[in-house]
Amino acid sequence: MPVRKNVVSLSAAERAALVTAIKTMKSKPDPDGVAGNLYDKYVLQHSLTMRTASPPNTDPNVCNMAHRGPSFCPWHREFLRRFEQDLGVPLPYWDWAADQASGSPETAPVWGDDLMGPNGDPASDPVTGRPAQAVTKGPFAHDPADPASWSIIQDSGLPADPTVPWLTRNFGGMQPTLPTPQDVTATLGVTPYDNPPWNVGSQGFRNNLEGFIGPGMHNAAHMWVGGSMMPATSPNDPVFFLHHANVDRIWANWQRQWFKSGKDDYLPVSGGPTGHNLTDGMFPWGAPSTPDSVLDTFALGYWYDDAPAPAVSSLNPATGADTGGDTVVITGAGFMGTTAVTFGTTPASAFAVDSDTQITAISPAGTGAVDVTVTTPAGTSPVSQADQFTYTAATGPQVTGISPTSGSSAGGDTIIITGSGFTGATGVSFDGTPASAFTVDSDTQITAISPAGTGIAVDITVTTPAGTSPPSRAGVFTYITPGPLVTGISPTMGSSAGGDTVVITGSGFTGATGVGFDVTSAADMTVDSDTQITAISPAGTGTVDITVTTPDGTSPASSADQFTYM
Amino acid sequence: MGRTGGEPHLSIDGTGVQVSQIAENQYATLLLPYSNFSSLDELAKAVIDHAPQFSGRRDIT
Repeated sequence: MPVRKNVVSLSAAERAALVTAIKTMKSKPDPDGVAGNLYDKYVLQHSLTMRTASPPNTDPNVCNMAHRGPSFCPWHREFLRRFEQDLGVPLPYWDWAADQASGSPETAPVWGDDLMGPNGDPASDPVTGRPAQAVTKGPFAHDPADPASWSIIQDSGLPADPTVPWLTRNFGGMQPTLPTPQDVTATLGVTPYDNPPWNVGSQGFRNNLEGFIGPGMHNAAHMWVGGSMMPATSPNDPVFFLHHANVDRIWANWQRQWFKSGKDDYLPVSGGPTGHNLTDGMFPWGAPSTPDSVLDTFALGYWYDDAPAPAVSSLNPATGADTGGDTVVITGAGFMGTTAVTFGTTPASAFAVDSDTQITAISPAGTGAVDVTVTTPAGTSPVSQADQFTYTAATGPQVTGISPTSGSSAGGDTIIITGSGFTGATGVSFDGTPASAFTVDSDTQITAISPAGTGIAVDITVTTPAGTSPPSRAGVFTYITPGPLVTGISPTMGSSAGGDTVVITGSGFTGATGVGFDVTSAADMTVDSDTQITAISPAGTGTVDITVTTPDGTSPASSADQFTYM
Repeated sequence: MGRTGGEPHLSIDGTGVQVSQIAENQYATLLLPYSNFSSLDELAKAVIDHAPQFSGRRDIT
């Protein structure tokens, strides 16, 4: 994957390779047979695109196929991608804001004689026909005596340019200064990407970056260079490609800044001028070269040298089970384009890039303390104390379910216990009473025989050498006692004279032979169902237990059956 | 220099320059496509000063 470097970072060999590659394109034929050579194909393509109005617009000065509209950014990204493929070496970028900040942008390294060459010479030469502001030094100076020297071309669709074939520059002639780093920062803060009416009148990031609003940005750099960078044939000056690599870098950084915030979305999806909607084929290539196809530079196979390498600053939680499966939130920076998340050397079971600063990962199985690293095309996060994840052994058995959830108080019921960590179980308890028997079917299942017992909230726990499972709602068992059981009465108070109707609820009421208010029988009773009896209170005093008697026995007294005489 | 039939018209030394009025007080030309101009005067001056096709010309109509 090529890295597009800042032009000031190029080695002498890289500078020479770049210049040679550019000039070589001038010697290769245009495969389409339209332009005189492969390089000039790009000059004409850019000019033609700039002169072609984007319907429904009829004037390219309002919106054309690559400028004054939303596709400005993706069109030039695709244009550079294709150029770079033909060039054969990575395109560097010209950080004009840094040069402006240096105070002497006209002598910046990009204008060195071994790169783009210097500003134009103000003097003309009537003998050779050389116009004012012609570049006379460096690899792109035209020499009428040297057919291999750099020559620029005209576009037949525009008025004739008498300066051809000299490349011209006029630093600061029309635009006195380049954009500043502060201008770049301000532009990066603008959202959304674009807005109706999708042209030079739009508010949004694109029009700020293109330069028809705000500090001028892209447009200002064209005009600051001047000369051959002014008309639609501006790719005649090779610095065009370094300039647009910088514009593309700023867009890539804007995309990173707003990554997955919803504000990084390309607009418009539809309803914009032809060639500018998300899935429109871009002129002149057509589909599949759409704005949508170039939104991810990593997917396109390149990135910029200022793309931050990933760095992990914290994990939450920083510990997890050795069996894996824990959700871990990784915070840091440079996560856009993440291709891998590893726990030690083991890839995460899954991960999602939430933003450029956050990833949510699922831990794989592991042991001990490991470094969690994030890998993007820009590199792998360096290991540090902050990225350490510690695996902990599973903390004994866990009960996650029982079936059935109730059984006879006499015991003897078969209960299937499900959970984890059951291997080597030494005991199964029903609220402290050992199971009559149990079998460890697997690490996740035990079959137990319930002991005799009572109660409606009995915790079933499993004990292994690693510990005892904690009580859990999933392990609650209810003993069902044979015979009647009163679980509620209504009302709970009545006259001491008796005669009140009391509804008794519970279980096992079928065949009831008597209802007692302590030792006094109800004045009357009706068994409504196995779970309900309607009784008439006898006379009495104080608080008494209402009991139900059947052939199976008498319900035990409890707080649920207490009735108070008034 | 003026407007003909609702379209701005600019001629420099007899050579016509295609000009668009894209909004109120906003003019543009493909000769200098990286800028808009707030008046035809401003546009004409920029074309003479910076568009090589019109370098040195002065007679604006």
